[in-house]
Amino acid sequence: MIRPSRSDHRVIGHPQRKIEGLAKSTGRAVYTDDITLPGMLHGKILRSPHPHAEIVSIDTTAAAALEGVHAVITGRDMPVQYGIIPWTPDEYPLCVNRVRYIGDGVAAVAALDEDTANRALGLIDVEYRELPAYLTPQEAAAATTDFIHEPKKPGHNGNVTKRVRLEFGDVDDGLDESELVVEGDYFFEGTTHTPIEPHCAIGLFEGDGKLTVWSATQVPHYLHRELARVLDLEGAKVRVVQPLVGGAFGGKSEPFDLEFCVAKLSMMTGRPVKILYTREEVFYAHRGRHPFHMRYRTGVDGEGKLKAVDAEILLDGGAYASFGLVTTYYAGQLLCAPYALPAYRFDSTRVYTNKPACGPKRGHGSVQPRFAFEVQMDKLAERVGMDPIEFRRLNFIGEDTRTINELRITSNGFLECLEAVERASDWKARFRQLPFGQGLGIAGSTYISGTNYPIYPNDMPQSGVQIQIDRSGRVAVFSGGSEIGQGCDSVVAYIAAEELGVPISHVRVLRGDTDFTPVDLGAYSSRVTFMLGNACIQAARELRAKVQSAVGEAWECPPDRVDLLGGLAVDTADPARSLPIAEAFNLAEARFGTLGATGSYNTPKDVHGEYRGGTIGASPAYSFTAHVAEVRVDVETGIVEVEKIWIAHDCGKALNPVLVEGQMEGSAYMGYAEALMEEQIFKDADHGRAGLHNAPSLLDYRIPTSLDTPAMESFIVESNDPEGPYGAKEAGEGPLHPSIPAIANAIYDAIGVRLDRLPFSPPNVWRRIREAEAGGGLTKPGAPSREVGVAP
Amino acid sequence: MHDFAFHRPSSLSDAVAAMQAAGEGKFMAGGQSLLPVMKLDLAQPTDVISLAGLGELRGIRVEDGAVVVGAATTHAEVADSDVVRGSIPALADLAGQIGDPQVRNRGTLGGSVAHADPAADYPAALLALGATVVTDRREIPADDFFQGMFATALAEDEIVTAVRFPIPDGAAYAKFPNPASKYAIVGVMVARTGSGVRVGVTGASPTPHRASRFEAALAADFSPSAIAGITIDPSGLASDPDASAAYRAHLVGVMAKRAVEACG
Amino acid sequence: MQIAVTVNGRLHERSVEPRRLLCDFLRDDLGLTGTRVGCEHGACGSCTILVDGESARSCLMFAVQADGAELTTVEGLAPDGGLHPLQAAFREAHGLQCGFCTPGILMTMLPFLDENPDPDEAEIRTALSGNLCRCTGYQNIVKAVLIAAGVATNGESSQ
Repeated sequence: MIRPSRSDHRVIGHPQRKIEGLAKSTGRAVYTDDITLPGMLHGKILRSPHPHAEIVSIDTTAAAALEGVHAVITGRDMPVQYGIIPWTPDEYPLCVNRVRYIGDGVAAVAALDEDTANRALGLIDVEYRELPAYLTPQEAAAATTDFIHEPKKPGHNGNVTKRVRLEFGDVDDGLDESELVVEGDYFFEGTTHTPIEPHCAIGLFEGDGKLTVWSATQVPHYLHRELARVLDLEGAKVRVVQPLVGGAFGGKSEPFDLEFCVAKLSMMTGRPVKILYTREEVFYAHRGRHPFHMRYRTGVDGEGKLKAVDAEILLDGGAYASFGLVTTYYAGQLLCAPYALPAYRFDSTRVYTNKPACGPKRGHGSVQPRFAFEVQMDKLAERVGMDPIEFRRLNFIGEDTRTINELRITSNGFLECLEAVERASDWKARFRQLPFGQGLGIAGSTYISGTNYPIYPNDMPQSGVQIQIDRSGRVAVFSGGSEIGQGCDSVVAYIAAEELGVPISHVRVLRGDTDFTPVDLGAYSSRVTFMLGNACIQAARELRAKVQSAVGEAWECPPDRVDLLGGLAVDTADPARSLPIAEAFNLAEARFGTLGATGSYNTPKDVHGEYRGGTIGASPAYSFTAHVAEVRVDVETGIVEVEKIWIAHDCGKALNPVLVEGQMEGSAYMGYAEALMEEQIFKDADHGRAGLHNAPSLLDYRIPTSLDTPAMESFIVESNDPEGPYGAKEAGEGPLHPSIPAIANAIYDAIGVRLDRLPFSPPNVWRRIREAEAGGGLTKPGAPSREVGVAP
Repeated sequence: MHDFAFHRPSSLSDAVAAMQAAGEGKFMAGGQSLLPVMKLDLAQPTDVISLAGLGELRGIRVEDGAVVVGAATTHAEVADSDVVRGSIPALADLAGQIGDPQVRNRGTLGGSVAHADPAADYPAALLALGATVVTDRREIPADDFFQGMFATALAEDEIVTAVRFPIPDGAAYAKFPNPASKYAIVGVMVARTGSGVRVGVTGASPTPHRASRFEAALAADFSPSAIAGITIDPSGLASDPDASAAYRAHLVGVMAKRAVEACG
Repeated sequence: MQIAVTVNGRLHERSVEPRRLLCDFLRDDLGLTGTRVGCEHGACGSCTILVDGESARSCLMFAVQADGAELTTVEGLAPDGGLHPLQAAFREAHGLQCGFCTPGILMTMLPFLDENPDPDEAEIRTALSGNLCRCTGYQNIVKAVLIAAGVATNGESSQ
């Protein structure tokens, strides 16, 4: 259900097609693996069979001698460390001295075909000296020797990537003064993105020293920089092209070994080289959701208002830092809304383990603590005898305010979100009142619309767009955006059409080519619509003003009387007077010269906390979400069936409501999947080869089918953010968060059993049911005893 | 994947001859089980002998109180067959739960039975219905057919041509699927026949088997409550991250009970 | 090994290694890259095509198995360059985001709708269950199929 648009926009706010929908529905869309270049070789990467070992020697002689092999490289050919976060470069394109997980890249081959490349891998002789492997974060944190990475300072534990301890207000006092404190231990199992398109890259090094890399990446700009740095090339001679990307979800948001390897192999052979990951390699590349071990203490006063929150979090980071520094902060920083916390402390530690590196997955860093926090909220509401929705309303932080950790909240539609799902789910008549085995659960959340600070410190804009107008009436948008399916090409087309009065079909979007498009930092942290949209508006409005001015001159009227819409320039005072838009453009070109403009967006840099880490989590605007989930629990088997999820999301303003709904449903689906099914897990020594992925295949890693996925109903809430493009905020990640705790809370409503460990898979749920039966039986929890706002 | 010679014999006898001449031969029907294991190099045949074109393996008919299903019949054809639906609806239901639509369009009864995946669905039906596996040279009772994980009574060059399912008085299949692969973590078929009650269990253990204690209890009293108190010994059952042996043992009881309920 | 397959109405006679997968034959030998490969093991359904009118995974078939068969890929859905009603419905109803799974889903739904011209949502979800989509949560895919079947209409999209 969509709230009708309140604006007089003709394009923005109305349902529109995606501009690349035709190519995608006919099979003509081009993804990286669809590209074949003349003379192209195929590359393969040799991967470590050990979770932790020193590389003693590598002999590539036999592989290089195999017929059809054109080049073999090892870590020594690219001995430059990189990392997406400039402060934690800790990986090499291929391992130089040490391997840190089963699947770590050791050598690569380019050959005439994949079979030959695979045969050549078998001829590479690597001698390893095995080291003790740390597979759990607890083991890694307790280690005293054989650290996974060298300690940054002598005497430190090299297995610790990052520790963050921050306290706002006095938590100990707050807990002491609390009427009631609920404590809980929670575990969030790791999950992985599982885009349906595996990673793929093609490198082409030409005689003039120019390198082009086509890649299924979310971050062409960062890839551009790192390719130049690691391969010691001039940035001006490196070009990154991003074809359409077949899903990413955070899994393609940093450079990967294949991109460096295709570049280096092409530099060595002079021929284009393609590497396509196998599905197994996608599981090893990972960078997915960190497993979190969490302990929360949450206190409330006699009225049910939150007094203090104390959190301890241990993050299982895997073998490399990836975005881990940010994850460690996000684990605490992003929890300070939508509820007012008078005192808050978190102690968050990320440790390395000998498993594939974890990184950012949709809802980076905050999905796990949100699960724990919202279950804590449910427990507290029950203990104080309040309806959990009322309890959340009571603790609402408000709009135009600051969080306890000094993040600036502008627009905030959380109360409308709560109301929408409360009404749609018939909550008041059904919560705690459904038959045993059926239940409803509520949860809320907040998320960033991009980050105020870029990954590498600089004062340049975060996003750029260039627009050019042709005499035919065609508008070309050169967009820095990264199209990963979310619709960012469409968004700039809608904006250009809105501002310049042309039909969407007259807008061309060229995107994802660092030779031709301005810089945008990439599709991550829900920044694209907000930042790219603002950049596009700026460029389009500059051109709009020129066209208005030229037409106004011709019509001898003030420029602001000229409107551009529906393929025409129209005199708003005399609607009978109009010009076809191409003629209006021609007038402007005659008056001002060739029509082009750039637009850019940079974030506010003056709104963040004045403490170390206070910039992390600072965003120009925050989205808000509430879900109600309805479940049915089969206590005999432990099967939880989620029958429906009601999703209400404050996206500021829906630029295209159907795209927003698609993001909301896709997010809620992914949260549902993590709640019930997904586990990126590894064998221990008792169950096979320690550190080996349990089952790196889609026949074993469970993602929901159309039969599993619950019914979903979306409610768009528009709070019209003052800084967002047309008022818009993010929609692609926030709506994932509440799915998981809403389902946990619904299970409790259904059978009175708390599930504090993910996933709620049948065997796990069954085990908890058995424990509950042994401990006194299963019963439906009682209804809230307290009326709203009445003290006990 | 290693290369191999591909054969398309036009008769059963040619197929057997091709197998006898092969180094490491494999028969292939729909390929939905064989191809994945070849991709993983778990099978590396020198010769693949296609049974797809053999008319002798096709067809579904009722004969002497049994439904005879040709080995090359796809799961989708069994699921949609009016003959099967009319005589043994539980068998059609089971076939309709195998894998997903694409697998059901290519995968065949004979291929599944000969492959003998311990988590396949058909074994539960063969055991519960007291079926007979018909091959190019003999007939093998289901009770003697499944001999272990991926192991059957078939000789190397022996070809399943059909399976004969006696029509029961009533039968039902209850399945707890693996959410990713849709294979059975536990699948139980219960059948009431003139000669008693038979319960076939698949997925739970390396070899599909009959649950004799359930059969005895149900023979005396065909009701869910008759087996409610029977616990299954988890020792010897499969155990993996999807389901521990204890959980599987529990599920065998639950699925059996639900199959009995569905039998009416 | 010599094979003759008809793909989208056109006969192709080629020599292939027996181990050549049908999806690779289509993508690399015939240049029909609309058929995508997502998982290699018969789970995701992105490579689904029609084999003699029935949906099948081209990653779980050897090209030699298709000898003599009639194949249809997404490129053959609307050979005249227009849009098949199913394609139009997916485009209208936002039944796609990243689009990678879309051709496989179209090729699964095509024979399904032929056999079930008046499907309900549950039937569509069952028929779709061999195709994984990671973006949409399936909701708009189901809606698109309902629209294509004429069971639902989509009055929302302009332009």
